[in-house]
Amino acid sequence: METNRNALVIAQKEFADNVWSPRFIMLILTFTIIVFSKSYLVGMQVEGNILNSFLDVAQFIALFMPFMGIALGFDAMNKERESGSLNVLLTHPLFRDNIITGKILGAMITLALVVCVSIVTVVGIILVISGTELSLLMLKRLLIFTILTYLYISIFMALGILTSIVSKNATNSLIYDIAVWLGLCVAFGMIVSTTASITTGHMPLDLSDNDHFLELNADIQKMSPAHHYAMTVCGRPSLSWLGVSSEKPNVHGIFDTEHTLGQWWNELWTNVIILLITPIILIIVSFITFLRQDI
Amino acid sequence: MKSKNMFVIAQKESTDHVRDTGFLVLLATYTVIIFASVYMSGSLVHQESSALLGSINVTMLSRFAPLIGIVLGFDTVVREKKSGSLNVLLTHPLFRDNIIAGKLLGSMLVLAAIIVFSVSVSIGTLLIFYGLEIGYTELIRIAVFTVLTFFYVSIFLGIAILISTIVKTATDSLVYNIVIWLFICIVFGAILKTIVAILTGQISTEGVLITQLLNISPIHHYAEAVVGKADLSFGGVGVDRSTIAGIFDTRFTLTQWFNEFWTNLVVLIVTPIILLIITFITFLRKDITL
Repeated sequence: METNRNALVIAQKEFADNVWSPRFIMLILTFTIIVFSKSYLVGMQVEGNILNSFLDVAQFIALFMPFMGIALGFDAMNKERESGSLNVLLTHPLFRDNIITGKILGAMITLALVVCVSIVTVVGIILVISGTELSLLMLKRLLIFTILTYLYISIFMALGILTSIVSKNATNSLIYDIAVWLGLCVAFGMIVSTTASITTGHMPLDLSDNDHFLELNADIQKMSPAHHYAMTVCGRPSLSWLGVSSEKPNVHGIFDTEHTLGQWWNELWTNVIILLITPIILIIVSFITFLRQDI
Repeated sequence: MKSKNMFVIAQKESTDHVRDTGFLVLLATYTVIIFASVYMSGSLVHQESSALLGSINVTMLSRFAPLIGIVLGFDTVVREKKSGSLNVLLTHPLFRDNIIAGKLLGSMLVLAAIIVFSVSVSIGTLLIFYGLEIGYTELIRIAVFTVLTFFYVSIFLGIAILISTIVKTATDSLVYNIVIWLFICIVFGAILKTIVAILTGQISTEGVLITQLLNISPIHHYAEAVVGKADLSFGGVGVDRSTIAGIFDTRFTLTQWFNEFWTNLVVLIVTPIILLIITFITFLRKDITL
């Protein structure tokens, strides 16, 4: 009981630190403005089913929201270590795993806040501008979309926390995270296509006889969390820039109302599982690393 | 004597950059991105080799090259201040303007090297994989393109150094810089379209207001001068406005190109200079305490 309370106190402190830091406030403002402008444009151009036009917004979220997760996680541990407060903290009667649990919990709660704010902004804007109706069915799908987005971004948050434990100072940890983010989300499509094209000796946009190339391309694509997010949300293998995509699933993502949620699950459950498991694995790794680390 | 001090600091600054692991990691990522993007866009036009030089992926270059400027500049001043070495440095017989001028010079030298390097990566990819032919005229144009890119990226270097003089910690500085990068290079067009749509109620990209507002962004001037498009950001205003399709349009001479785009050129050259002057003034008047 006592130990749980310790973790919660640290989580509360971490949450408060995050929410009140000027950096965080600026980031959330930026992302709200960007998401607002994207969804405003989508809302104005829309005809028919609103959520089909969600692709544009989803692409933006898939490419750039990971930075938000990184910004929440990258200095979780080495901030304390650099300022020396971690040593002081450990002289108190609490365990190391309390500290890391509290930190992760605090960051997770902050992230939930961010995701909710941005999704509510998107949906609100699209509804106000286009004036379409939102049924209960759609609300259910939106809820799942929110959860998927949350899982996706928490992968990057967990990665941020892990690098913050491993690396010596906060700046380096942020730079490594940015490099991973650019490589895995923004430019992953073109890097994969180039790799596949060079290995198979086949031009990326030559459409004849390209089975081998497309197969390799699809295989490498599975390494990125952005791929799994894109599959579940809009039924596309890749949302990043300049990628080549093939092998589209029958269900076009979570907002495809021609299929039921059961069909969606049957078709794409592997992707959902990966989205769920990756952050857990990363968190476990950071747990172990932190517990065995010399401070 | 005074300028010797400056060169010593410049030398130290560029060595620090080149040996920094974070910088090297980001440089590697950037090189991979540039290579992959040129490879992809080169394969689009691999039949007709005349237009091949135009397939240097200026869009990706204009979006990602600023990151190099940012990573070179974001901790220039704040790192020295934090570690206390700025105080020690100032007890030596050298002036504050020597320090900041040396730092600027050092970062700009590294930046110039990287821009030349990334242009060579682009051209080299086209040469190796698609058999591009390069004549004398192309070489001049590639040189002009390199210089333009250098000015464009040094705008971001200027912003980064300015922010590093103002803020308290290096991580804050990097986060603010990334946000500025997102705004200017990635979503500027989309935000502009939204503002115009709210104000006028239209989504058309041809209006007077939108073309005037576009002038704020450095990416607009770079895009005009290099490819003759109004905007290169993500989901932006993708209209071709000028008759000349930028620097690689071989139907026109360089003089015609210059007559058409000299205003953009002037903006690209003047903006980094203004930013550097602001940085100078801010640093000279700053209170340096830990």
